[in-house]
Amino acid sequence: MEIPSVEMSRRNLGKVLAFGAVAAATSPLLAACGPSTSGGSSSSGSSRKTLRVGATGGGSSETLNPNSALSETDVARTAQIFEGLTTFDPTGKVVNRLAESVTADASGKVWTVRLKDATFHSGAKLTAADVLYSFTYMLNPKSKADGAGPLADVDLKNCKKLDDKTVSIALHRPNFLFPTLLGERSVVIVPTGTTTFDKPVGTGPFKLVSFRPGDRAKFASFEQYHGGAPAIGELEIISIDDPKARMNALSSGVVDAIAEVAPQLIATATGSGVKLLQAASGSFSTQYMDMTKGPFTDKRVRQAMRLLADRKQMISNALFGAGDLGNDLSSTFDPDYASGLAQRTYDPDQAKSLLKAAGADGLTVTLHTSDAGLAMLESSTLYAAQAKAAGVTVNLHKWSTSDYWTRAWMQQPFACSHWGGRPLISHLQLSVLPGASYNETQWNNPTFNGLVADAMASSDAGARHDKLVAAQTMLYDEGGYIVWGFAKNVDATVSGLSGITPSAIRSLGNYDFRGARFA
Amino acid sequence: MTLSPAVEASPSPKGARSLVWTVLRQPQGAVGALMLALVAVVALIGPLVAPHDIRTVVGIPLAHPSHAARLGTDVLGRDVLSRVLNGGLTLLAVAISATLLAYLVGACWGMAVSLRSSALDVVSIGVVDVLLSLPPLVIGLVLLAGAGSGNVTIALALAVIQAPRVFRIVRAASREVAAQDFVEAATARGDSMWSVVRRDILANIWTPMLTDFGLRVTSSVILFSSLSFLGLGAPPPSPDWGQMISENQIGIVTQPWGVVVPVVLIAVLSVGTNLLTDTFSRTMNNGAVGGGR
Repeated sequence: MEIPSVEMSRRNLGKVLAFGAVAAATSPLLAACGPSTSGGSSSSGSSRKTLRVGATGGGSSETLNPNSALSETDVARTAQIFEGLTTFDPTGKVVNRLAESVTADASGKVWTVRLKDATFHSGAKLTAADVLYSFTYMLNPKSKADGAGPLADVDLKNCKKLDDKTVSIALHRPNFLFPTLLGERSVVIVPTGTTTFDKPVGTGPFKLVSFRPGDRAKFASFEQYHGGAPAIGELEIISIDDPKARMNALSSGVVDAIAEVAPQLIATATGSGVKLLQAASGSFSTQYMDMTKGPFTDKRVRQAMRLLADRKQMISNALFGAGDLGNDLSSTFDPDYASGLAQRTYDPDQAKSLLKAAGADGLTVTLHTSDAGLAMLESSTLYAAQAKAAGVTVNLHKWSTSDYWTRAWMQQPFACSHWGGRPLISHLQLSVLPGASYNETQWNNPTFNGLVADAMASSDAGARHDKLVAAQTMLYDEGGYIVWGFAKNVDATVSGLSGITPSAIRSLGNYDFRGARFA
Repeated sequence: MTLSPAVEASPSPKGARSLVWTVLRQPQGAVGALMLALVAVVALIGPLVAPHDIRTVVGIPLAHPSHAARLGTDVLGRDVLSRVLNGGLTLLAVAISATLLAYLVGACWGMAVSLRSSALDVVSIGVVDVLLSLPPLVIGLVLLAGAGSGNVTIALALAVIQAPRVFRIVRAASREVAAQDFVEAATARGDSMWSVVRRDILANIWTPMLTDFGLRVTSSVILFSSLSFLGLGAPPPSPDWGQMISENQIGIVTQPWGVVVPVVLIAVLSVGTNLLTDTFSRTMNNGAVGGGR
């Protein structure tokens, strides 16, 4: 979960305070209209050296701390400065970033990480000590680091430096999916001694030049970057909260690329000079039922409610077609996704008979919703109309985006949520496994927990896959999520910009501008 | 005899009728009334003639006008025409009930203080001044954010906003009447307060009250639309016009009708009201009421 309380409410604050937000979003734009001061002219041939990117910001609370990054611009900016040991390629597969290799022993409890020859922005070399320091920092409760979650299984006392470039990481329990957890964006490597992020130092492709929260950050390419200096000399990441203002900024040439084109605006983005970047993604808005409350304790009621979502209509009308069907499970891009399960379809008749069998025909429920995630309110509105066909009355209780996450979410039995795209194991750990921070459906099933633990402890990829599919089948049959679809990551750039590969993880190729260049 | 129209007006409905005719004979007043009537007809007749249900999806979202959807579809693919036709009734019902409630509280309060002790009057004026110093939209936002939105809470919020304003008008009008000899005589005679209010005060102030009532209803409509636009209106799928503008504004380049039609209706309503009330107040200030012309 993207710690939605802040991230999502901010995104839609523009709707609540429409005029103010537009005004606030426009003022930095005016400043951006001035001539872009492109610094060095070292890489000749390219007339344009500054790449300007617009994304949803987080106002004055924007941060450069990768362990508390929330808004899109926070994520985009920290992704330039910091790197983790692993990351995800555009299809969502784990790949090495600062790690040369990540290998497990036979038990899956001890992992050996060999580091690449990388340099920090300060000029210091990356060493095994920095990795151990970063882990210690993140696992220190005082740091309040987001990375503590993915690293929860790390047994710090038994981690050790093998040589300058090699580190041995011990875990409390076997986990052959550990490299996936290392790829979480908050799990980054910082130089030994880092405690604040006012002057952030990382190993990333761009180093920070200046930063004004709520407005913009400027970066310069890092000449000693371990993957080779980026083609773009300067980078600016600008906070533009309102989706229409963002699109206008692009079409008027104030920025060169924007993240998150609203589905309603896709049709307007096809003009000259602008091109769309689209990728199937793992992020989704969902309706969920608390399995411990009211009618939803009955499995048949949950099954009926899932059959009352006309998923095709939600994709076409709530996402304007820019999405893919959901099957009540997450992480469709993960190799271990249970792709063999039958696609659930809209079936009011079967839903009706299930409800009758459960003694819940003519059910009336209140769905708590908000404009707090992409297509969340729209899909809820459509769902209420679709459920009518089975005689189910769904009343909508609409919350303001600022109240939703604190006053309704995780408190009401039937409500909505928004999840970013994540590998399967990360998603399960956050949503349904014991100790999950966001167990929205109150799923608690020992058989399921055993299957997932067995899968993590299994060194054989095939056996692991089978166990994870079995676990997902349980969620598919009995769970409380209505995952009707996945919104595509839709971004737009000027047509002269190339080298950004659309990614399943996040916008603008997971904010990877290393290969970006102007024609 | 020329002091105050309220006093001069006879207690019979004749004064009001003559005021209305005087207003409607002026071009401004006639145009204003016509505009109001147009919106009222759309709001009242609309639900009966709407071709589709307000929640039914009739096509792809933001589709251009077609045979199936005369004004195109909205941001979720619902018929814009049907939603426009259904959107006015709730709006008017909420605005009128909120204004009635505001009058029930504000008018009783205003007449009571005009007849009773000056201490109560001073305290009331203080309270009302504080309430009036708060911008209406801010009061609405705070109340609705606290109580959650819905047609009933919106009506209550609008009543809270309007009641102090009603109080001011009614108090001012009834104080003038209360100072007259015939009221003093009635009080000395030992008439009950209720009887004085009904026979002497109310009968003399109801013309300006009626005018003010119309003004309040429309300002309630506009406030309601503003709150809806800001996302604090009734929950979806409510088709009220403010909400339609808010929902469909993102698609205005692709399919303008979902925004333009409700905007025009609200604009017609507010311009019409302003024309009409301007004419009313000018007519009353000219003393052209009663046998004036």
